[in-house]
Order: sequence, then C-alpha cells, then structure tokens
Amino acid sequence: MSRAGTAIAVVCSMLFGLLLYRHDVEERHRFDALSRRLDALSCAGAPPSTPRAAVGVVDSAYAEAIAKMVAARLRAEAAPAVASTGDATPAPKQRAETAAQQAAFSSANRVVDQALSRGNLSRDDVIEMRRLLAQNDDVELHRELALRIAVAINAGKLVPEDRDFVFP
Amino acid sequence: MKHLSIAGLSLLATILVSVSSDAGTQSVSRTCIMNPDNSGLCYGSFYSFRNSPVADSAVFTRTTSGGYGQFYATEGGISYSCLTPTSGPVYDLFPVALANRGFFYISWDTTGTCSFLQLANGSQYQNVW
Repeated sequence: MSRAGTAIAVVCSMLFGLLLYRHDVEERHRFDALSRRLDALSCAGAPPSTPRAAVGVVDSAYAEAIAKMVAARLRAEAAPAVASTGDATPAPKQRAETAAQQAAFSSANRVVDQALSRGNLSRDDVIEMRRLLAQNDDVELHRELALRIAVAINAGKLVPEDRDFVFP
Repeated sequence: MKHLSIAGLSLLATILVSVSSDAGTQSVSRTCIMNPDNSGLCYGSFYSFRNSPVADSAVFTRTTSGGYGQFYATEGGISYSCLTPTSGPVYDLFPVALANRGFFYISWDTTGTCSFLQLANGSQYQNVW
C-alpha cells in the first residue's frame, strides 16, 4: 500500500511539474508576442530619426524625443478642455492694463501698507484709495485690496478710525 | 367630588399662568465671534446692536459701485468685517441686508470673505429704525 502510494505521489509530482513547465513556456511565448507588438507600436509613434534603444538603455536623444512626444500629447489633451469652457481664446486675466493704472493700484496698496504700519485706518486713507482705484475698474482688484483691510481688521491689526469709512 | 374640583381649578390656574404672550417684546440678542483663525460670525438685529449696553456696538452693511457687499461690526473695541464675493448667493442676497429690519446671521472665512448670510424677520424684532 505504501509503495503504491509512493508511486502515485511520484507520478503526480511529475505530471504537475510537466504542467508547470508547459504553462511557463506558454507564458513566455505570450510575453514575447506582446513585446513584439509593443515594439511595432513604438516604431509607429517614434520620430523617424530616433534610434530605438534597447531595454534599459536610453540615450539623451531618445529621452528628449520621448519628452517632446509627451509634451505634444499633453498639449493635444489640454486643448479640448480649454475649448469646452466656451472661451475659444482664453485671454490671461488682465490687471491694471496701463502703467498709470498699475501705478495707481500700487499706490492704493501702499496706503494700506502705511495704515497697517500705524495700526489704524483713517477716513483720508479710504478716500485716497477710492481716488486711486477710480482709475481702474477691475472689480476683483478693488476687492483684493479691500480684503487686505478685512483680514487685517479681523486679525486685530487694523482699526478703522471712522466706521463710515472702512473699505475703499 | 371636592378633591376633583380642586384638581380642576389647579389645572385651570396652571394653564392660565403658563400661557404667556411675546406681544411687545423686542429681541436684543446679538453676538459676534472671532475664531483664532480670524474666521467668525455675527448675528442679531440692527435694533439689538443699536440698543446694546456696550457703547461702541454698531453693525453696518454696505454695497458700493465696487461690485461687492461689505459687512462691518464693532463691539467692545473689537471689529469684525467681511466682503461678499463678486457673484453668488451671498452677493445676490446682500442688497436685502441693507433694508433688513429683523434678524441677521452672517459668517466669514479666514480670507475675510462673507461665506453665509441669513436674513429673517419676526414679531420680536424692531420694525422701526
């Protein structure tokens, strides 16, 4: 009984080993086929003059070519997203279009800086900021400046002298 | 029978005493809170700030041609402020706050932007400015 059992175990082990070997061979063939398909795809997408590098060896020219391809693909993918916003020609946010407007906004910020250094905001400060901001109709800029004041007030760093003149 | 009558009278008296009326009352509750990160909130009514026992109590809502609403309050030497965004629900509701004669609740975030606004009215609030 024990001899028969041993024989059966040996035969089973051999069969199992054979199955494993065949499975390994099939996997290797499948992997080789996949590698060939990947190589073919790489050739189709790579720049003509780009040398194909062996696995694990990438020279600088090849790396540069890959970088260019990736960049081109990213640009292509980004383009529809911009178009989908409904703005075909997205212009950068324009701020203080002219030098005079820029200077006026900078001056208004300096008024806030000076008020912050004193710790109080005078009515004249607010009137001066309103005069300066009148030269620029960018609402977001106006609000940006006013938010500096709001944050400083809430932090206890700025006290308006006249409660009717708090924000420009 | 006598005990029943006494119990009934007691119940009636209890009901009569417990039915109170808010007629003529005016809410004077008001609160402003500033969190350590400078976010905060204020609530109350214009009436409650005006009639506060604290001398410098005041609350202001303003709109300007600048394109956003402004909130400012002060009490006990502490100032509270926020600006509405230039669009959105708080911005849209803010003009109503200018004419509010009831209860308001406003909160702001760490950037000084008014993030929530509630306006309400009730019989306990002062209708005359």
